[in-house]
Amino acid sequence: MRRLLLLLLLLPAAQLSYGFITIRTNTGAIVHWTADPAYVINPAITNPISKACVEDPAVTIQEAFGRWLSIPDVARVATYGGSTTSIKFCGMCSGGIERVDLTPPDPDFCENNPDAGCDAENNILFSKGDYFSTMSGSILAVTVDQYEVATGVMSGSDIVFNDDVKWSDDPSGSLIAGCTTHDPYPALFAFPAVATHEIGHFFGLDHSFVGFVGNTVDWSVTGTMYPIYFGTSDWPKMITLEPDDQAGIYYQYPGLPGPAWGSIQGVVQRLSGEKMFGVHVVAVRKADKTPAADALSGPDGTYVLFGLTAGDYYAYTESPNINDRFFADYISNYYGSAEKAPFPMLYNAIQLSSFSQLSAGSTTFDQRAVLVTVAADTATPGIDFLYPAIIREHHHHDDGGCDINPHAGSRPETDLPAALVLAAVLALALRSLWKKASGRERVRPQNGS
Amino acid sequence: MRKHVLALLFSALAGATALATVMVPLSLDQLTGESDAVVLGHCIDKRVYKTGEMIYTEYTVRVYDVLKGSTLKEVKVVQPGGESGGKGIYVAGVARFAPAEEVMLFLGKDIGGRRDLVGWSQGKFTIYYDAKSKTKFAVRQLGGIGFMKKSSGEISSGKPEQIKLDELKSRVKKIIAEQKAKAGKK
Repeated sequence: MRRLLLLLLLLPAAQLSYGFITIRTNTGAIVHWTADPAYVINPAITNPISKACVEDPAVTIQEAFGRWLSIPDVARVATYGGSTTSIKFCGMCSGGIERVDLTPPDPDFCENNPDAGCDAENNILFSKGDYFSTMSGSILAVTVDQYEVATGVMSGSDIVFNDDVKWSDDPSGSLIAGCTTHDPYPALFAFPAVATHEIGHFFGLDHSFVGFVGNTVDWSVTGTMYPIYFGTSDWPKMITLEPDDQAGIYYQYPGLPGPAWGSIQGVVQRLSGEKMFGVHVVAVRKADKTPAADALSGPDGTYVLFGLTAGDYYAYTESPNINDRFFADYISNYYGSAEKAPFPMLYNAIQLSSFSQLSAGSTTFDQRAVLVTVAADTATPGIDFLYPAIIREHHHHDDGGCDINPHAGSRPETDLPAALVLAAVLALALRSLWKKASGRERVRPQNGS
Repeated sequence: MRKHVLALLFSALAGATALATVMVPLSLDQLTGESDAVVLGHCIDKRVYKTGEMIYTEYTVRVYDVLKGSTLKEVKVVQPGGESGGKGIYVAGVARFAPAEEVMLFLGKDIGGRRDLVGWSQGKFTIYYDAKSKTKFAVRQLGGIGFMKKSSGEISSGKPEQIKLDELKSRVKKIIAEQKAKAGKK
């Protein structure tokens, strides 16, 4: 019952923010599947090294799906619909490119079918880098999600792996006979790792930054949906789904009875009562000082640190700073995936020293850390954070889209000397007008007079 | 010293890799070399349009300086994805522009009056004015791309990549000159 209550409490809270991030429409709806999707795989690879080093792409992809689907109580499954020879994916004709890999060749294919692949078939395939961008090879893989704007209900999703890239089932020491290339990074990329990450997008999850605060990355908690390739030696960590990944997919597709997670909830606001949007709130385990969950406060100042196991945590907030400027407005339209602001830049800019310095009452961070005891299956509300009424801000642009930004032309921070000069100019102008009006304006002597 | 910092900045960037959209980062030399045009300007308009079921977002940038390519007054940059007619397409890693945002862009070839960004979000630097130092800076928003040592593949830093605009321009101009000279020798 308590789990159901927790679920009911969480589900309508579309404005709340979590460590994991769901893809959202511009109206704020969560992009998700309402029916179990089926996917097909075109296993054809042309890159000779990938051919030798990826034993069976269809098996690797299905294993990657299996990692997500093995999370308990997730109320959605994706089923393998078999292999295909289709090379279609949504966006395959982007950039006015001519497809040359069609059988039979058809140079006018994209001209006649500009939206080829934007259909209900969920195709997973390899395609040449040229079709991703003007720079072939610069993009390793792409997931393209199609959805209804009003509801966020997905109608299709395609995953495309760059066929120019050298893929391997195990770049740190291939287990496959014949795969003898062990070039160091970046020659071989871990196919299972990237596939697992892309499938997170297939289910509607966006990038998550748990474990990445300030200039520190804690790989022990960083999830698969973290947007950076972990590297040659650490790629196996990408295929293990961390609590943040698990919380994300459960939030997308909650089933009962649900995991016995606890949460910390509250509001970030100023002493004046103004709710603060976009403040980074973090929970760090007291026992080992590792980050457990993070969130950004929503437009109403609320936050939820979700997916916590029972135990003691330090909760704290921090201001994102870039060049000593506070960036609260920077993410003001984060709720709108297609128009969202640059999260990573924000996170990159958070200035922290070290988790190891954290203790109850620590002033290392903007606000004193609060020690919170979290019980299993229980929400711990009322962990609020108060900021001073006046805080130094820099109203940078909002990366929300060129013509829709509600914060366009926001006032810059007050510049006192400039204000004084402006006041002096206005005073002089008023004095001049008053003189003219009263007829006391002195006439300038003319030459010769 | 400056040269060393710049070299470090871009060599570090060259080794970074991010996921989904997973990109292999491009060095400034690669970006410049692959670009048909390198321009500075302000974003003045955005339009979302459909071709069948495929959706694109087109940004109009008013150009005030051209570092590479022929004279341009205005450029239309197209990125896949957006929302139109009740349908949406989401593609991670594409660049987005803010109103009046000042940018430096590394552009692909003009195809029917529109251009792509080289390397998607990698081909866009945002320019901002730092009132404190009275200096313009260029910042690249890479959608989660970190900084990795090319040799080992390990993360070396998570700091945002930013550089004084004048230094970035000088660097790009130098690369263009070097590439022209190289092409001339051939």
